[in-house]
Amino acid sequence: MAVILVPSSLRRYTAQHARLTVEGETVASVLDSLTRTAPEMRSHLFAGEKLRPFVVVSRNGQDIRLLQGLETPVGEQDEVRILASIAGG
Amino acid sequence: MESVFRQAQLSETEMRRFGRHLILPEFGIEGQRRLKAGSALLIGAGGLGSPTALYLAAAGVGRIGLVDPDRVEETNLQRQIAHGYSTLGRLKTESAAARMLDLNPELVIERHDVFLSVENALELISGYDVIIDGTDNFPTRYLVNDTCVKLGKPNVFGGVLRFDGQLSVFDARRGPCYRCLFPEPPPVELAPNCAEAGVLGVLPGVIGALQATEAIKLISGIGTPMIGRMLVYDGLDLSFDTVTLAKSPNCPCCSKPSGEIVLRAEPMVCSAPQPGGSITAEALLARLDAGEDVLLLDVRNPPEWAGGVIPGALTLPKPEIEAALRASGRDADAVLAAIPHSREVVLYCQGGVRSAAVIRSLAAAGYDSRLLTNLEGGFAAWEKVSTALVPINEAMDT
Repeated sequence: MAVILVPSSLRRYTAQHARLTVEGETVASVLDSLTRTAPEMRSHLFAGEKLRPFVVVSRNGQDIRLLQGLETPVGEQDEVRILASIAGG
Repeated sequence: MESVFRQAQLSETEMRRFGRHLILPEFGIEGQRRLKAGSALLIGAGGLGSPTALYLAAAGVGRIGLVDPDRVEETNLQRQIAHGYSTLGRLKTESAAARMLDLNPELVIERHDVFLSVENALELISGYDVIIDGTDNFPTRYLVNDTCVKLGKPNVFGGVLRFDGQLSVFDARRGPCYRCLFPEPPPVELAPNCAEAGVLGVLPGVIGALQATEAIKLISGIGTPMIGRMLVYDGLDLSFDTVTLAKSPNCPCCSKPSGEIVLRAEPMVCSAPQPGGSITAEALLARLDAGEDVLLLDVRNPPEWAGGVIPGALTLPKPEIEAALRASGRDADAVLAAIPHSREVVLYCQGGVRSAAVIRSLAAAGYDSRLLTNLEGGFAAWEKVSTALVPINEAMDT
């Protein structure tokens, strides 16, 4: 179980919840659990098995590309954050 | 950064005005002299640009460039605090410059009343020490990034939407660039702007003030800039979080030598084929002027109608249409009865994105997509070609 933080632009897929506790031992499996019931969210985040080029995911404040990518392990106390690009100004 | 080492003499008035800076030991007279010798280019004089422009002017940055082709509109005033009722209809650069000079008469302001474009980006950006991205769309943000990387300029990035804010300093010489993080923009249907998705008015104030902080730090040479980190702000939780970013070895921009970076207008594309047709505001106006009975459907939310609707348009918010398409029963039928199957309907929203989504939903629900037409650029485009707006009450009576 890990806490996943969802930006407000994607909360329409999570009944407006900003923080959810989700099953999974890697970032990939946490995101699988999150999107299992929300296929639209899955297609927003992923193109096939890869994250889309306007989505960044971090674990405990570090871009997962600095860690082990989608295979980055996730523990009980870890926070996984979805960061989506926004252009408003 | 070269400019960090440039300094300018302060006048007696400036010594007095900036007294509270001068007593900061980390900043002092040297920091103030560096600010006066320094320069910043603000791209966008809107939500983010307003507080940034005012704080940089007040702080004593010597030369500030403003890039914005737009004029002040009433709907800007919910958040764009450099402007006001007294400057409605005036160029934003002119309106902001007046406020900035009132705070600091010694300031040199350079107004550029143009869109940043592939043609002018190198010339505009090369003339300043620090670049501040306060634009409101993806293509301009990628152009700012690529030009800054090519020229070796720091890009103080701020982005806002709804209740969320992001802030970073992209300086490819010392860390990642914007494309390391997000190599490509989202497709149009996943990239609503503030006019489409909304923005809490104070949010660009929070992020814009932080952009000003970073710009002042870069020019005066104090503190640690947000290079390689992104601040993530959630206004609903009132939380600030920092994410350490990766510099991508395969970045489509900053992994290349400067000479190989080609500036281009980033295309905004739809990921799925869009059903239905489309019409420009000019073509729609011509059809209406010719007396054609065009069925128009405004799918914006009720508060947006107060700014005017296209004469004769039916008003039915997107969420109601989508709820009716999901539901069944008498209420849903009543909503959908307003949208005929047998004749053309021209749908519009503010910018053309939400109405395109409604067309996709209607087509998926069995409407003949050949009879569904999207107004390109939405009401914003219509406003530019027509002054024939009527107040909402009259429109609803028709």
